[in-house]
Amino acid sequence: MKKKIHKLVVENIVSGYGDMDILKGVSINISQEEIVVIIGPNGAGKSTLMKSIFGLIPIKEGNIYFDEEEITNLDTQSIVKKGISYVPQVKNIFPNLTVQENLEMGAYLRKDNYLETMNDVFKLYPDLVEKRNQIAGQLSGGQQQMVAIGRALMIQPEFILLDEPTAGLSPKMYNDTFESIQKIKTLGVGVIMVEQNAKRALQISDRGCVLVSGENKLTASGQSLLMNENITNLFLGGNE
Amino acid sequence: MIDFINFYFLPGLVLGSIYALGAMGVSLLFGILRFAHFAHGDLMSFGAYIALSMVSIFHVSPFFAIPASILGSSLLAILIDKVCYKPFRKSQTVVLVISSLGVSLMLRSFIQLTWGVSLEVYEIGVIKDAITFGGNFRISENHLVIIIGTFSLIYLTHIFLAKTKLGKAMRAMSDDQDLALITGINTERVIQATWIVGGSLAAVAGVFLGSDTQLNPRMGWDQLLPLFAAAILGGIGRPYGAIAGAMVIGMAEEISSFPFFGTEPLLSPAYKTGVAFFIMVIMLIVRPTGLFKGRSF
Ligand SMILES: Nc1ncnc2c1ncn2[C@@H]1O[C@H](COP(=O)(O)OP(=O)(O)O)[C@@H](O)[C@H]1O
Ligand SMILES: [Mg+2]
Repeated sequence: MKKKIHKLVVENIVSGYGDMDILKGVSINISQEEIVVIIGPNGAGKSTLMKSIFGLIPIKEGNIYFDEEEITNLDTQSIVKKGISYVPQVKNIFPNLTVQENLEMGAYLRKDNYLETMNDVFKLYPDLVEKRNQIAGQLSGGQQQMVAIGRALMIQPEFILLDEPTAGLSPKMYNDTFESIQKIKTLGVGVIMVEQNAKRALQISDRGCVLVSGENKLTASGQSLLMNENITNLFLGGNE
Repeated sequence: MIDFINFYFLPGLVLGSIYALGAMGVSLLFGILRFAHFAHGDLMSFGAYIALSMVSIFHVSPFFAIPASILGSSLLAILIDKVCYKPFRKSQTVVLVISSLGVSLMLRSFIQLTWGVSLEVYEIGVIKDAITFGGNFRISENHLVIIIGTFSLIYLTHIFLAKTKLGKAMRAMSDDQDLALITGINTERVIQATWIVGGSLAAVAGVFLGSDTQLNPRMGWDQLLPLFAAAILGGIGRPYGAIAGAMVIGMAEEISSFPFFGTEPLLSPAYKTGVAFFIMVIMLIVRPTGLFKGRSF
C-alpha cells in the first residue's frame, strides 16, 4: 500500500508583530518529498513566514491547511504533533544539554521508541556520533546546525521548516548541509527552506518562491528561477 | 583545630545544607520562570509548620513528618502558581517579583493565624546528643541527619535533572523557553514539576531549620538574603552552582566568628547575617555572573 503523501498549503496569509503587518498575503504549498526554497532580501519576511506557519505569531487573515485540515493559528504543540517541525535561524539548540539530550528533547512528544530515529540522525550526521555526550553549546557552528536539524527530525516530521540552515557555515559544512537536506527529502520529508545563498538552494529545489516586502513576487520551479534574468540580477548576483 | 571543626566547620556545613536546599529551588525556579521568587522562604516556613502539626498530632519525629511537609508545600506552591503567577507569565518580571512579595506576606499571615505567633520547637524526635568520632570530633545526631539528608536530596535532584525525561525538559526550558515550545515540550507541565521540586526542597529545608533552631512565622523570610546570596554566588539559574554558593555562605557565616586572632571572635556572631550580604555585594561587583557563569539574557 502506498503511503499517503501529505500536503501543506498556505493561502494568502497576513501576519506580523503587533499592529504591523509584515506578511501581506503570502501563499506557498508543498508536498512531502519536495524541497521548496524561499528567497528574498533581508527583512522581506522570510523568518516571519516560518513563525506564522508554526503558530508562533498570530495569523490575521488567510488559512493554512495540513491536507484538508485547517491548522491556522493552532497552538505550537499541536502543530508539532501533526508532524511539522521547525529549525529557527538562531538559537536553535539547547546549549547546556548534550547532543544526545538535544535529540531526546526533539522526541519529547513521542510515546514510542525513538532510538531508531536517533540512529538515523547519527547516520545522516556521522560527525555527531562521537560528540553525543558533549555539551551542544561547545560544538562548532556547523555541528550545532546538525544538532538543530537532527533535533527537528526526531519527531519524524512530515514537513520540516529550515530557516537559513547554512548561514555562516564554512564551505565544507555548507556542502554537507546541502547534501543532508537532499537526503532528508528522500526520507519522505517535505522541506521548506529559507536561503540567502539562493543559487545553490534553487539548484536542489523543486520550487522556489521569491518573497519581497511580505508579498510573493514569483513562484516557479527552481530551474526557471535560476534562468530568470531579473531574479538573477536582483538576488543571485551577490552570491558568486 | 578540633574546636574549629566541631564548633565552626560542622555548624557551617549544617547551615550551608539548609541554604542549599532553599537556594536550589530559587535557582531552578529562576531558570524556568525568570523571576526571583521572594516567597520561597515562606514556603520553607510552611513546610516546617506542617511538620509541627504532625509532631503534635501523631507524636512522630519531624523527620518522619517530612513527606507530609513535602506534600503540603508542593501543593501550596502549585496553587500559588496557578492563582498568583500564571496570570502574569507574559508580563514583565517586576510584576511577578511584586506578586511573590505579596504571596510572601499572605503566607506569613496565614502561618500566624493558623499556628500562632509565638516561638515553637519540635518537642520530640530531635536528638541533640553528640556523637563522637575520630577521637575528639563531635556532631549532634540532629546535625548528622541534616547533612546526610541534604546530600541525599541533592543526589536525588541531580538524578532527576540528569536522567529523567521531565528533568531534562526542565534543563532544556531553562536553556531556551522559545525553543522548548518549538520542540513540543509541554512548558506548563514543566513549570508545575519545577514547583514540586522547589516546594519539596523548601519544605525539607524548613523542617531542618526548625529542628536546628526553633519555629517562628518569620523563620523562612529571614533566610531570604542568604538564599539569594547563595543563588547569585552560584550563578543564578544554575542549581548546582547554588549548592556550592550555599556552602560558601553557610561556612562563611559560621567561620566569621572563629577567633582567628587571639581569643575574641573575628566578627561578633551578631553580625552573622551581614556576612551573606557582604559576600553577595562583593560578588555582584567583582563577578556578577556568579562563580559559575550564570544566565545571560
Ligand atoms: N519580533 C519582532 N518584532 C517586531 N518586528 C519584527 C520582529 N521580527 C522581525 N521583525 C520585522 O519584520 C520584518 C521581517 O523580518 P524577518 O521575517 O525576520 O525578515 P527575513 O527573515 O526575511 O530577513 C523586518 O522588518 C523586521 O524588522
Ligand atoms: Mg530571517
